[in-house]
Amino acid sequence: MRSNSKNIALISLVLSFVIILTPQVVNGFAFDLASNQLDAISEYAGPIAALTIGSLVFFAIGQALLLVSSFLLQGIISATPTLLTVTSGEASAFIRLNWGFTAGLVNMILIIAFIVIAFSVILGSTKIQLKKTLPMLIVVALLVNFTLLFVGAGIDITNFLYNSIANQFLSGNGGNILYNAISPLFSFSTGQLAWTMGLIAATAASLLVPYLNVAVQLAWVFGLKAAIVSASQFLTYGAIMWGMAGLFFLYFLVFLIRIFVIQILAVIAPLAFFCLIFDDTKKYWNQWLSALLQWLFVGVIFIFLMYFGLAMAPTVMSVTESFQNVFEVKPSWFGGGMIDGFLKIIPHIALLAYFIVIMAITKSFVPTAVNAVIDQAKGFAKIASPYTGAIATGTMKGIRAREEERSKDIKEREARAKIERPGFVSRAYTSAKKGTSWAIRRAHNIAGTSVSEERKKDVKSELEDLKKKHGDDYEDFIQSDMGLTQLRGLRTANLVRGTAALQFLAGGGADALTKLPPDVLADLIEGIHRSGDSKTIKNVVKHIPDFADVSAPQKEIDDEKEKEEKDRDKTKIKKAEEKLNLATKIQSAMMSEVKKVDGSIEELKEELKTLDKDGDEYKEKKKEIEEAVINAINKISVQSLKSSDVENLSSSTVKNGKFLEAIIENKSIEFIRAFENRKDVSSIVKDLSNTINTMDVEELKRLNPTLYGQIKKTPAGQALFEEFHDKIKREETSS
Amino acid sequence: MKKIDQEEFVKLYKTLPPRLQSALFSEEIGNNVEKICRRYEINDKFSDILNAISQTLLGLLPIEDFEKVLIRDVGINMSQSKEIFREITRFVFFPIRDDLAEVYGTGSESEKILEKTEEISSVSEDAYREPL
Repeated sequence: MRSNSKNIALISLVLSFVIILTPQVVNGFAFDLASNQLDAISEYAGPIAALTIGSLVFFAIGQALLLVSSFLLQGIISATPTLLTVTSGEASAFIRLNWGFTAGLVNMILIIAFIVIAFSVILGSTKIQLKKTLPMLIVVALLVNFTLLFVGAGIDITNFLYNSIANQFLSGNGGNILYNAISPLFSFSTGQLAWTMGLIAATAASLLVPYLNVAVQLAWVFGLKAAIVSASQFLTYGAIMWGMAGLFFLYFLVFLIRIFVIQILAVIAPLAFFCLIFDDTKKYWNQWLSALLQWLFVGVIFIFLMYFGLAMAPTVMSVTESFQNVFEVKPSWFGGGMIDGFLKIIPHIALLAYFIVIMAITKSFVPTAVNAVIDQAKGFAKIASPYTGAIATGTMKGIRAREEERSKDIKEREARAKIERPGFVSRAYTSAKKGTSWAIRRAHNIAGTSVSEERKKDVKSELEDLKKKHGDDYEDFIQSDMGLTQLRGLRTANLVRGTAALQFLAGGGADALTKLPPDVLADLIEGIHRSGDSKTIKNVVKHIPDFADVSAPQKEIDDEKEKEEKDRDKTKIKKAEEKLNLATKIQSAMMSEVKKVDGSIEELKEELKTLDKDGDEYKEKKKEIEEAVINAINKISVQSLKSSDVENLSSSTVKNGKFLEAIIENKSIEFIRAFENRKDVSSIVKDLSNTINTMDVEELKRLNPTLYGQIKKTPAGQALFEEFHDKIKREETSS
Repeated sequence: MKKIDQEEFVKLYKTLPPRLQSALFSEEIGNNVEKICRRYEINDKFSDILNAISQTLLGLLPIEDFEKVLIRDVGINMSQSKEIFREITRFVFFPIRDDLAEVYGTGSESEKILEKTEEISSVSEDAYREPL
């Protein structure tokens, strides 16, 4: 037994030696170790290098943008006086040719006006107030050919003020003060940039040499402090440069737009002078004059404030020097050098802040168009900022992940179709769409077509498809794949489909349109309004004018919110909020039409601006505006309604007092007759009769002479509006 | 004379032939009645005459009873009633005689009256001027 064990042990030993000592083919390499080390160290060195490179890229882009924008701004400041010349031989061909055309046109209109006045004298018409009109006509006839001279005088005055400041830009402290103000930003970078780029190049080269690459990457890790200091400086200076570049570009745009706008205002000056003649057109003259003065002086205001800001830069620099003495004991970890470095950027931050303040100041008293430019630029800045941040941190992976997350979030939100302010991705998407649509518009211009025409064709084709597929079964459409599910997430993404869907549903009137939830309807109306398709909007709103009333849902919300929190019906509040949102969107979409119907709304809005928001007068004025708007929407709706639409009006619409008033003020008895096939015809007629009974005979005669005559003279008018018919007869007998 | 209220009007209106429905909404009827009233100097009777016409158009007042209503309910004297009735028949009822016949029945008195009526398209101011 013992010898067996010995044998087994011996055999095992021999076999072990054989196995160990047998030669084997292996793939070992001396640099494997370096490779493994490189992999390990990269885990730490990678993010540090990414931070440095990212911040460098961010800085470099900022620097390039600042250079370009300051060059553009200086260029436009210098070129403005020349480009704005309208009177001398240097005036652009655009002004000379087009002003000649408008002046000729106005001269022709003046001759026609003289003839009209002559005829009105012969025929004894009192419509034209001769005493007032004729002298003004003669004055305008004389002045119209000197309009360019007047505009030129205005331009010369502002140019004089402008030039006296603009010249300072070139004479300030031996050179261009715009460049002087920003040059310290560039001087910072000269050494730092070269050093960092050299470091990156050296690192890249070292990656090719085994073990050296490990050492260099190790050096990156050891140089973490320096990397953070360097990246912080690049990011801070870069951010200032981005900010400055954005503002300079914005200023450049304002100056550029100013030139074009003033040129256009100069060209239409004869027409503006012509508008002086009649009381009804005088408002256009006022608008022109106010626009001209605003655009002329906005340049002077801008350049005046800019000059102060730029001239102030050296002063701020000296102020910050005193800051340095504050830190007698400097923190040891990053060292005093870094504190000094950051103190140096204070003047730049101050300058940036000053430019932002200029923008804020000028925004309050510059033409609306400038505000539009500023707002648009703000939108771009908001879009750009996350990207620039991402470049700075060098984490494009992160941005992709965030994009995916946001995109998922957007999809979810669109699926829920919540009423929320669009997030970053949505804004970026919208801006991308705007950019695309701009390019499409240009392409269409070249091709001799227009986007709206093409879109109309697409909508028509889509609408025909819907009609073919669903006939007048609107519920079938809503439930279909292309129905509510698609429309809910549509927003502005596919307006052709949205427009076609709304046009299709409008064919079914209120019954069909109200199959859409208010939030979806609101989104579609908003999108279509943005596309400028007012016809579709009008065609939809005419069936549901009562949906534009903000007061009813607002009251529901207020009533619920007055209750104790536990007793509040949150679903009711949510529904009311959706209705309120829809009403607001409809009002916004209809506003241009509303203003045409009731010109006083604009004046009321102006008055509202002057009132204290907490005062009772403000609330009353606001209510007055709301009522005027809803009255105008009802009027527009009623005017657009055809007799055939009556059948499809919602019961809430025909019960709406404002709508009934609008019918009485705008429609004939034939339209009222169209209600005959509705089940609720008796109650509608009763309500109409009650509404008309609240009016005076003279009032109806003035507002709607046709209906007045029909109530007086038709058997139906007498039977349906008996009380008012008798009132007419009584008044006639007594008179 | 009883006036037709809204509900009754709507109810009866729906039962009428289309041309009678249209006639109820026609201003031409009021214009003709106005001219008749002016000529006979009975402007204060305009509403009552119009109401009587409505009743006839709605099928409530046969044409053969129309003159009686003019005398009894509207208050027109007998010397004028015949002429006024003749004119209303000519200018208002005659153009829609077929539809009225449909409402009051073929062979009814109303139809016979209308058959005897001369067609005149509209009332003219000098329609009854003495012949030279």
